[in-house]
Amino acid sequence: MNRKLFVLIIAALLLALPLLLGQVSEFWLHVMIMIGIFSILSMGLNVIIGYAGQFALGHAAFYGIGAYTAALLLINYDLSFWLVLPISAIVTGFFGFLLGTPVIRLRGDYLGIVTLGFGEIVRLIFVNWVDVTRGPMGLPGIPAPELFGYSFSGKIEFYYLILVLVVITYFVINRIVHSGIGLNMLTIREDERLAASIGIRPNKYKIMAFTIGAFFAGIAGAFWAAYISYVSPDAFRYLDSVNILAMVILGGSGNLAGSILGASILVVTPELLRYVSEYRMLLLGLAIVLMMIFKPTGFWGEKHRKLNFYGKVQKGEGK
Amino acid sequence: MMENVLELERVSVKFGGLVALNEVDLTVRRGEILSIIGPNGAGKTTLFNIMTGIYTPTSGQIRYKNQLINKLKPYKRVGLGIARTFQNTRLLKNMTVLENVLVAHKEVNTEGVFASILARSSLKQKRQAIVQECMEKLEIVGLADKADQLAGSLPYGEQRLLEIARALATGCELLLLDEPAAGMNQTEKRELIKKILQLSKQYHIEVLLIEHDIQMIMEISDRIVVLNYGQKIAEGTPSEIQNDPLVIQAYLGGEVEA
Ligand SMILES: Nc1ncnc2c1ncn2[C@@H]1O[C@H](COP(=O)(O)OP(=O)(O)OP(=O)(O)O)[C@@H](O)[C@H]1O
Ligand SMILES: [Mg+2]
Repeated sequence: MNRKLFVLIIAALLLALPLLLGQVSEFWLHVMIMIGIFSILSMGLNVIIGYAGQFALGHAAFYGIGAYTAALLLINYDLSFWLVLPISAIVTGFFGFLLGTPVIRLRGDYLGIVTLGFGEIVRLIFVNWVDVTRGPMGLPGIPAPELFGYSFSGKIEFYYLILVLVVITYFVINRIVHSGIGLNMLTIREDERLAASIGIRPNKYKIMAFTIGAFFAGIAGAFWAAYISYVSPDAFRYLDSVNILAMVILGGSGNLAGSILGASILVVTPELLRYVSEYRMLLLGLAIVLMMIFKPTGFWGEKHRKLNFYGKVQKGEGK
Repeated sequence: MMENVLELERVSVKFGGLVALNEVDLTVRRGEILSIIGPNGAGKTTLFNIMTGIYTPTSGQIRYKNQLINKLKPYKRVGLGIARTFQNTRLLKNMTVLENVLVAHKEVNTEGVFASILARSSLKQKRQAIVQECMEKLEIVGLADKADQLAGSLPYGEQRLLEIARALATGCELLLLDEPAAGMNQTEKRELIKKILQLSKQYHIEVLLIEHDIQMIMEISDRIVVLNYGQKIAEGTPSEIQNDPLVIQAYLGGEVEA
């Protein structure tokens, strides 16, 4: 099938990329890694916003919780990164659960505002809990991951690691959204009263979405901490939350490939626009507004859905 | 000996100053098709809403199979076997007909995270069986050949049938139909009558029906309850209702020759 070939070519390209880019510039390898991190973040947020329909605005907070959890464990307890990675994800997922439980009663704008507030509170804790987080100075000296006795020393290793993490994230979330769970989330997004009237427990699935989204943000955060070897509150501002949200919307909410596309666009564009840095935010804002007006489903919205929710290929429709 | 499936005892619902239901007593008996009629705004849909848990009554008691369900959440009542359709259809318009039925299936609503990630062959087999069952529900209402179309693309009458299939997929024992024939032409109505009778006689589902089409009501109902301004003004067999002076005065007017 053509699709298989396409996937194979993309895979081969992604695998060979560092060999090509590594020669050209470390910088573009870094950009690729950032795309990977934000792909994971936006795919996770897509579960919350695109599938469960919960307009949450504090995703950077989960990213930060994952990063700080990993940093603290790596620095203070000398644990292996391969253990810290899942622990950070679980801890962050638990915070998603904790946040989800009270806020699911809220709707629309209110939910947006409260989750925004949550994001700011988390950041303020990073800033003010100086004993643990060292406040604005951040936590430096996070040890690099080791694999079979080799320490990750260059960007290439991190590139392959994030590639693996993105693939795993895509695979896992894809399975979840193409199951009864995804189907129930979409029903809640479309019509919560209807969902309840056909036996779906809305709160369960909303909390589940928050937990899943936070879990993967925790993975992204832990990776970031190990990659940069330094965490500070600066990377987890509300602007970063808005940025992740924009990736989901730009790429197409309710579509995972769209989230990766959105992350790629919004990571690369600012780099390309570096020379007009003053207008950068302005241009991005304009692009998003235009998008909302002319293509509200995003570049790669749900219309392109090829699979039935049980993984069966859909026939005919939509052409 | 459970003659009465659903019992309402002096149920009232108030919206601010408006009394939508006023001390209504009502029972649904095993095996029957019970129709609710009454002018616009009489409180018919409100009655469904308190039965399904969308609203809780201001006072009074609702019992389903001898269990008090006043405070039970809507999704739990579905679990007990109560399902409904909506007067203004509520479909997932951008999803396929089959998916609209799948969402209501119990097994779909209990799939676990880890099971869905692993997607082992046992789960796939289970899903196959679920799809099969949902296709059967579509078969019953006659929409099986449209399973892959988008729900929003169906004509109005078929959207109502899809709502019925979806309600059936919950595995309901008591089915509440809110104006299922609205927007249907005469042939579609005849088909609908056959299907409702089939559900009652063949599948042993108790049916509660809200309709404005008097002819259909008279033909299909075992009993009829008449509401007016939130009050039950009459109850009985079709012929009793047809001859009830209160009903004729309040509702039927001169439309039906008694
Ligand atoms: N959520 C609500 N808030 C306030 N008033 C309501 C609400 N729901 C229903 N009502 C009022 O309660 C009364 C009964 O409404 P209901 O929808 O039950 O009537 P109905 O018999 O189904 O009418 P129709 O034949 O038009 O569908 C109406 O006056 C309606 O305006
Ligand atoms: Mg009504």
